[in-house]
Order: sequence, then C-alpha cells, then structure tokens
Amino acid sequence: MSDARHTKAELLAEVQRLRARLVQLEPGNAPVHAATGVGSDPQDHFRAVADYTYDMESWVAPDGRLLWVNLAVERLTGYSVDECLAMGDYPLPIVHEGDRVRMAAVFQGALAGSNGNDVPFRLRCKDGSVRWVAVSWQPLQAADGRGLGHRSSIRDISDRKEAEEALQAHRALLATIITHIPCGVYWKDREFRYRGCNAEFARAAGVADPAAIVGKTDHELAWEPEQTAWFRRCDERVLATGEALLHIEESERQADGRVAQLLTNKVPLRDADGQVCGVLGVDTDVSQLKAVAAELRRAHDELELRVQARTAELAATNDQLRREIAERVRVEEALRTSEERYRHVAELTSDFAYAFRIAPDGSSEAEWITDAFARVTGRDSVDLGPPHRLLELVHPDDHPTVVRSVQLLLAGKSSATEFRMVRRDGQVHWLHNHARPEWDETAHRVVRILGAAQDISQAKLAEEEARRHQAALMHMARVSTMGGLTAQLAHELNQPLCTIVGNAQTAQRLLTTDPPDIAETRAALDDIVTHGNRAADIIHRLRDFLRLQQPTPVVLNVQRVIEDIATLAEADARQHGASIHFEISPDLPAVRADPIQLQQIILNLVRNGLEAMMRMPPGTRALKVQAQREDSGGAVIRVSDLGPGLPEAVAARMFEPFFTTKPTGLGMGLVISRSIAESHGGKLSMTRNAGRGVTFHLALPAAAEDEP
Amino acid sequence: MTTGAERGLVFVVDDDAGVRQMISRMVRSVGLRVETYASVQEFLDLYDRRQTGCLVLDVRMPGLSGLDLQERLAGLEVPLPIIFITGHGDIAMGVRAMKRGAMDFIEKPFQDQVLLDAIHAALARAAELHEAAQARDDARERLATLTPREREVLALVVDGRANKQIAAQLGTAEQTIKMHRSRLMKKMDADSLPALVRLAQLGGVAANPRR
Repeated sequence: MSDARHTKAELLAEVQRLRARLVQLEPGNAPVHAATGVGSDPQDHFRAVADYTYDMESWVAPDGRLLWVNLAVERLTGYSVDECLAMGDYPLPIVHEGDRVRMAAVFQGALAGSNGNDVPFRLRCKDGSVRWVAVSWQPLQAADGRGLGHRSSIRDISDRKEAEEALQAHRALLATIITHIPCGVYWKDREFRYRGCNAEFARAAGVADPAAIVGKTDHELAWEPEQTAWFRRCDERVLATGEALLHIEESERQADGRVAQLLTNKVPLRDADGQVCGVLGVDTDVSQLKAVAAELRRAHDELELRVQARTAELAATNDQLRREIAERVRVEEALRTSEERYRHVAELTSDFAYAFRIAPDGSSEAEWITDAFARVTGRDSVDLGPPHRLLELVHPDDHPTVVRSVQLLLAGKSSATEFRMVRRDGQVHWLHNHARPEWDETAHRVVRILGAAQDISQAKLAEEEARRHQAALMHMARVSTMGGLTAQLAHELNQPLCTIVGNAQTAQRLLTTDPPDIAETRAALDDIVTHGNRAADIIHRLRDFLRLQQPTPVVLNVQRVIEDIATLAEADARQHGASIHFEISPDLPAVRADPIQLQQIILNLVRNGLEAMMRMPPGTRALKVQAQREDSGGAVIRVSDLGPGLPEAVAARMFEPFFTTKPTGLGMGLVISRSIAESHGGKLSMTRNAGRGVTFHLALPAAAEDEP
Repeated sequence: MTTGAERGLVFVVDDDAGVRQMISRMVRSVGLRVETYASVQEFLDLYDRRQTGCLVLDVRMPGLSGLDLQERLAGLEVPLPIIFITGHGDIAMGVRAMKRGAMDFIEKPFQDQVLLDAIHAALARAAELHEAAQARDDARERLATLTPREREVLALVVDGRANKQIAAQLGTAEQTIKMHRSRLMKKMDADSLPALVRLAQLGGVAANPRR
C-alpha cells in the first residue's frame, strides 16, 4: 500500500514535470536542453515527448544496437541513458539473471521482426534491487519499407505482481482452509447448481471428488427426497431474502448410509454489484457432539434419579421416625387418658363390678362393689351378706343356675350365666353375670371372686319377641312341609293299619281251626300291637312336628333325631319314586339343639334333594343321609342327592330369601334352615358332588360336656 | 296229577316288613305255601322259574317297582299270575296293570277274604297254564319220536287229506301210507283222528304244509 501511495506521488510529480515541459514546448518558450540538444525543430519536439514518456521507451537497430532510450530508464533501473547506450548487449545487463536466458530469446525474436506484448520479466537495477516489468515491442519501418529495427516499451508492473502474489497466497490459504476444515463446505448458484465444494462435503454427497459436483443439483446427489426438498427450501429462502440462515439443525442420510446430525449455516453469495448470486453452505457434523450431549444428559438424569431416590429414602426414614415419635406420643397420651376413661365408663355404664373375698371356711363377704349395683338391682350393697343372703335376691327359678355357677367358681373355673334378680319393688330384672376366681397358689384355694354384671332385661325382652316370631315362621315352614306330605302320611298310616287289619282277621281264622293255632294267633296279636304303636308313633311325632312351640335346645342324640324322621323321610322318598339310605356312624357326639327344629332342617334338605331328582329316571333316584363326627368334635349331617346339580348362578343365590327354582316354592326353606343352624351355633352349606347332584352339610358343635 | 292249589306257591313282594309278614301269615293260615321278598331285585335274584304259583306284589317300592317286575315277567313261557296290592288307590296305575294281564288290583287295607279269593283264583289260573304247558311239552316229546316220513304224512293228515291223496302226492302206495299212519297214531298215543290233530297242533305242526 505504501508502495502504491509512493507510486502515486511519483506519478503526480511526473505529471507536474510533463506540464512544465509542455509549457516549455510552446513556441518561444522552449528552453534549450544542452545535453540532448533538443532544438526548436519538430524532431526535437518528438524526441522531447519520447524522452519524457513515463514508461521506458527504447529503439533498437536491426543489428541489435541500442539507438535510443528515454529518460525513464534511469527512474526504473538506476542506469543513465548514456550508460545504457554504452552497453553492448542492451538490455540483457539490466535483466534479472533468472530471466536473462528467456528474455534473450524474446529479444532475438524481436530482432527477427516479431511483435510482443506485455511479456513480464524482472529488472536487475543498478543498486541491485529487483523490479517487475513488462515489455511490449513492434518492428519499425521507414517510409520506403526499409527495416529500422524495433521499438520497445517497458512498463513497471511491480504493484500488479505484488497484488497477484498476494491474491495467490490468499487463494492458497483459502483452499487450504476449505480442504482441511472439518465441515462440509459448498456453494451453489441461483439455479441451485453446485459450483464447488470441499472433499468433506463430496464424501457426504457421494461424489468422487469435489470437482465432480460442479453443475449438479441436490436432486442428483445421495440425499433422500425429503432432505432434498428441505435443502431446497433453505436455499430458496437465503436467495430470496439475501440473509444468512444460521444454526439450522438437520439430520442428513449421507452417501455411506450414516445419518448425521448437522448444524448448518447458509449465507448468500453476492456478485460485484452486490446482487445475490448464490448460496454458500457450511455443514458441521454434530452427531458425535449430540451423542455425547445425550450421554451427558443420560448421566445427568441418572444422577438426578439417584439423588431423588436417596432423597425419597431419607424422606421415608424421616417420616418413619416422625410416625414413631407421634405413635409414642399417642400411646403415652392414651395411657394417660385411659385411666380417666375407665373411671367415666364405670360411672356411666349399666354394669356393676364386684369382688368377694372367700374365707378359708368357704364363707364370703363383699369386698367392694361399684355404685351401679344400686341402680341395677334396686338394692343397697348392705343387702349383700353371706352367700345365702345373695341367693335371696335371685328369682327362685334361677337358684339352680346360680348355685351351679358359684360351685364352678369355687372350683376355680370362670363362669358366665344369665339369671333373674328380684328388685325390692318386686320387679324382675335379667342379669348377665361374668365372674372369675382368683386362685392363690400358696393357700391352694380360691381367695377372691371378681365379677361384673349387666342388666340385660331389654335385650331379653327383644330376644323373646324375636324368638316368638321366629318360632311362628318355623312353624309355618313345618306346616307347609307337612302339607306336601299328606299323601305320604296317609300311605304311612295305611301300612300299619293294613297290617293290623290283616293280622286281626288272620287271628280270627286261626282260632276257628281245629285245633286252634294258638302260637300263630299270639304272633299275629303281637304284630297288631307293634304296628298299632307304630301308627301311634307316627301320629305323635307329626303332632310334635306341627306344634307351635318355643324352641327349647336340649342335649340331643343325633341318631335318635334322624331315626325319628326316618319314617317321614322314607315316605317322602317313596312318593318321589326314590330310594333313601341312612348312614349313621356310631361315634356321633351329642349336640345341643331343639329336636323339632333339627328334624325340620333334615326333612327340608331331604325334600329338596328328592325334588331335585324328579327330573332323573325313576330307577336312579337315590338319596343318602349321613351323620358323622367331625374332626372338630362336632357332628355333621350330610344329605346328598343324585339330581342334575345346580348351575353356578342358582348355587350362589340359594340361601337368599324368596329365591326358589320350584314352581310352587316360597323360597324360604333353606333360609329358615340356615337361620336355625346358625341359632344353634352351627353352619349349613352346600357343595357339588364329584359325580351327580349336590350335598348339603349341616354342621353342629358338640354339646359342652358339663351341660345337662 | 295234583291240583293247582296244592302245587302252587304264593310269592309276596313288599318292602314293608309288617305287611309282608301279615300276608304271609294270612296265606299260611289257609294252608298255602308262601315265600316273601323285600324287593323286586331280591325276587328276581332268588325266584326259581320252574316253580309255578302266583305273585302278590306291592305296586310302589324303592328301586324297581311292581310294575317294572310285571314288565320283566311278561316274556315268561309259563306266565306268573299277578295280584297287585297298593296303598295309593291309583286308578290309572291299576288300569295299566290290568291291561298288561294282572289278575287283580287290591287296595290296602283289604278284607282277608278279598285277597285270599284273588290268590285262589290266581293259583287256579297258574295250574291251568301249567297243565297247558305240560300238554304242549308232551305233544312235542311225542312228535320228536316220529321219522321224517311219518312227520310228512302227519302234516298231510292234519290238513285233512285222504290216504289215497297222500299216497299220490308222496308218490307211493296207499298201503304204505296206511302203515305210516297207524304207526304214528300209536307213537302219538292218539286213539282218534281229532285227538291226533289236537296233539299235532299243540306240538306245533303246521296245518297247511308247503307243497
């Protein structure tokens, strides 16, 4: 640049000089130049122009001798005109040694009459410096065609050369950058045709080398159609707006099949007039970066999770700790209030509690008794004296119960009883009493009896009422069962009647024979008695069965109960064209139940079984009634039929009230049966048989051994 | 030959022990022999088919009923007359039983004479049936002693042909036919032509043989 400025300054100085020279050339103004001898004739004028022409001008004779050179030689080479004229082989001495051979040839050509234009070479200046120049030359001819040698013009091109070299260096640098940058670089014209790219991009695009891409569009490259369309859209936008699109994130399936994640910048290319003439794209493959980022994110997330888990763990532990603390506080609080609460309860409840001290001689006295005693019994605690006084408060009918309870307690067993107490005003109240003995190991006897009693009169009344209703319901069920049995009963009574009549008539005949057969007559009469009793028994049991009575549970022999209803069951089976079979195991425990109700259940189950088998062929209807001891010690009575069985839907609902499968059924039989079973502490359930039909199981607990 | 009443046995099948023993005692009191069974199956297992007699049968019993037994006995060569007794007075059932050849249908309780009369009638019927069977067996036995030629001649005689016609048909002399005829009369123990025809028919010789 400084060179350029320098050159410009020189130029201006030369122009100044030239102007001054022109002024001198005006007629009358021309000064005489001693050295050149320029005079006022036109040849002098031409010479003056030639001498002062800015570029170096010279004239060489056909024999190669320098005829003339202008003053510019001194500016360019440092050699004076005279020095040049003195050189024998001008201009070789002023040519740079490196260019001398080439230029000798050129000068030879010029001597031979050639034309030359702008042939560059280096000058070796007088001071040893080097200067780039370019030489042009033409042959000169006289008017008569005679050869006058040639003229040459040497121009200083050092500035141009410098600029060219600088450009060259820049180009090389740019090429190096484009080649080695780890990005895909490419540029396209306005028609989206590639004008060039680097090797990296060529690889991605699947072209052999960068040169091969020139002239192609994206349609002809390895991309997938959507990618091509996307590239085109981006290019169009850049071309249309003239603005760069930066940081486009895109994925690109490259020629080798790999899908690369790219970060792309597209910038407009502009021509000398500033018009957008193409697009330059730079793709940075960030796949690895992305993968690393994803990995980093995963690692981060995992860390996050671990932190969360650990935090949750800590929180849970914290919670647990807090809960434990709260629980402890609560327990302590509960303990504190418990005592208070018991006190309130004792005051408010209808229960009273008591303790009797038992003397070694068996006598007893009240040790303490809660206030509720007076409210419940209408008596003062002073009414409590020795045991016989206590007994006086008890309803006479319940004396045996209370006495038995006292005996149990003195024997060291707990006792729970219900008995009636007569208040001072004569009102009778039911009490539930629960007492336990306190056994003294050293004295080896009961030293104290602790107990609590509760007024259960209201409950008793309600219970009584419920029992009455239930009894009425049970009775209705029995009457209805019996209604279905009338025909069988007629037959059942008919059998003994027939036997009786037949035996009586036979006895009469036996007595008319001669001699009368006394032995056979007696046998006939015995049978009459037996079967008369059999008929009476049937009637009797029937009357019992149909009697409306309060259920009274007693300790029962299950075998007897089944035998009692066997006749009715057999009659029913006969009516239904079925056989009935009883299997009663000998080790049955005694149960505590109302016999009529137990019979009712069994007959009901028998009837159900028989009715279930009505759809089966007559020869195959067989009912089995089993009674066994259960592992639990109780008794179980099973009634199994060989009917068609029950569908799931029916089985699920069969213990519901008013659910029936029979056209005339009420749907209460099993409900009542189950309620009876449960009122006896037992269970009634149903299972399907492995083969045909179903089995009903009536389980009853064994009667307690000390029960009457 | 003994009388039917003497030979016959009264079989009683009833599941009710009281009724069973009572009928047994009643039957024995009039000098008849009796066997009792508590079920149809028991009777089928133990009954001797060669034994003639009659059956006193309860209609309705667990397992196989009286009507089932009647059905099973229908195929017997010598039928067993059946008296049904029932506690139910089921008319439809009675009609069904009678249609199948029951002798009687008596409702419990019954007068002893009603049952005893029915038993006597049934035993008499059993004796008749037994005698008929006996006669049929006799005739068969005698027929079995005839030669094939004699049987051929007998068939034509039963068909009512004269000796001459028989000789012509069999391609032999009338004298020969006469000889066969007197021999087969002797073998069949027939003293007249009607007696011979009756015996042949009892024994199952077809009246109209294939020519």
